[in-house]
Amino acid sequence: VKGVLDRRLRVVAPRDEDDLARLALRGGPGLGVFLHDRFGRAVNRIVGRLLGPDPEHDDVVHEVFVALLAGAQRVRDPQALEGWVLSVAVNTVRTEIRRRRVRRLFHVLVGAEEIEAIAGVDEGSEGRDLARSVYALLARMPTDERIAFALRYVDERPLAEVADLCGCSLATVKRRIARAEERFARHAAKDPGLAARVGGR
Amino acid sequence: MMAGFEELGRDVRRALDAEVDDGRLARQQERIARAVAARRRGPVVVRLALAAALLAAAGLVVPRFLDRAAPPSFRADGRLRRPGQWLEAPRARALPLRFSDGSVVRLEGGARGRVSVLTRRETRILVESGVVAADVRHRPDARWAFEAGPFEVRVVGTALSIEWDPDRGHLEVSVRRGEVQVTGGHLVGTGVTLRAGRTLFADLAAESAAVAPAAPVLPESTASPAPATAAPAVPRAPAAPSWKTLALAGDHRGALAEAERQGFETLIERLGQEDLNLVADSARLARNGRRAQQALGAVRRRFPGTHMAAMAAFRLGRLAPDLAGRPADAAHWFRIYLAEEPSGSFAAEARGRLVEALVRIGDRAGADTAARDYLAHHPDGAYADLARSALEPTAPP
Repeated sequence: VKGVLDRRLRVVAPRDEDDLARLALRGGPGLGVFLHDRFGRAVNRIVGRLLGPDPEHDDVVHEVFVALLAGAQRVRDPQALEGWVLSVAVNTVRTEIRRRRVRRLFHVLVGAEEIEAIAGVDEGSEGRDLARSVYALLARMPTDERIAFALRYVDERPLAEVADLCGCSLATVKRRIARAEERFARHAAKDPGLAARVGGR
Repeated sequence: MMAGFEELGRDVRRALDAEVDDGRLARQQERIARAVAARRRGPVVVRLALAAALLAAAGLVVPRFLDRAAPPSFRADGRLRRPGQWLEAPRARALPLRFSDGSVVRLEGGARGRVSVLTRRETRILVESGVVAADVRHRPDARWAFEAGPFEVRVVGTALSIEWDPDRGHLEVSVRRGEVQVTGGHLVGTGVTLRAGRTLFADLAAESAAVAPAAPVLPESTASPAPATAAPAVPRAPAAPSWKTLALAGDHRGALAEAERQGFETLIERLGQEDLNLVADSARLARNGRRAQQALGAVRRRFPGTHMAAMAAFRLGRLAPDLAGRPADAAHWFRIYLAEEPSGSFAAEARGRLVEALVRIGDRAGADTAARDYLAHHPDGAYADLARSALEPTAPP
């Protein structure tokens, strides 16, 4: 941390959201680190909640910040900064999930050996076992439904915010969540632990 | 049903949110800083892209893609293992971990550890205890790191050995080939860069560190034997090293002694901002709070109105409890920091520590105000529970 701080301290840190937005607009030095300072935890939280326990979590977070730096010049309204950061995070996760689907298909085609990577997740914790089961099930859902469901229930966002982050209408997001609930309950019925939790069908 | 999903979501959230700690955030931030620096070297990237296009035309990309598409994996005792599993070498023999990219990591007899991250872009190995020797294949797009307690050893195409004794807080890193960067623990700044044939001895409890030229005996090495005694020795150059060299090598007592020899009070009047912070760090880590306070005081006095001065206020606040336990001073400095940088990087911590200091002083009204301010800014922050408890006597939440 100190190394980064030392390097960062050569430039003046933004004092507030307005300052940060101005820095984003002109792409000043240290922007990546300042954005991470301000939004690092929020991005980690939303990536974690959308993707679940994942060995490539840090890589995805990194992709989010690379995308933020690439699009920073488009920021106009300081008040919209956080919403924009979270939307970029959601889009990056969506791309990652789709990329993985293609990769998985490729492995099936070439018969490559693949093991389930669960790095960073300790064995034996009840909460983490639950998280693993839930995300294994979410991985079987269409990407947009999975994201809407995770934003609504794991990230605990109101429907209007879910719609904003997904870039669709309230009606569409309600439909996606309803379909995701139905699909989740159907798959969960085969898992006794989960079935009891969601009152399986 | 919806209530079931909400409850399920809440439990999943709890399990997930414990995952990201400050160390991980710091590593992410360093990586972003490196990526930004690399982006500035645009023309090189363009040339590389052109070279890649030529290689593709030559038909070399397809086999590489096939190679890269295969997920990384590793085997121990001939079996494919999953990242995250704890691994322990039997007392009598080593346990080699063979990675799909050709790298080999040997857990020597009795050593324990695990591969905590294994992706195409990053491999991270946690050394819980014992000796681990590694021969890491260089790949330009991949990062390798070993974590031993609070230390991190970053390597790129290197042969090295790491010994970590968690009970004594003792770390030894020997490099046979290549170069490594050791950070964390009490090593300040960017840590210690270690080249082939050098050994770093770091002692967490004594907050000391030294680099010696001889590498200890390695299982697969012809390196010269380890020093006979456990006591680390700083190699003596013909001229005495400067306080800064000693500080950057982690020898904080030596750095402070050298700074004293040069005249500490004169020195802090002429050093630049960064060096002043470094000397303050060394003084703090050498357990000389008074000198650290003087150096930080010099930052405030000589560079008023700068970000560094605000940071010095924050650091003075953190230092105050070490100086004969004076929480009133801590509160004073955290207030100054917050007044100067209310949205600064450490504002959340400063607000939380302010509550803590005021609770310790017994200033209930002040603690109540500070706690309300904390909760208004950081309702889910690390000090939220403390802040709520500070509210309780006068106004239950």
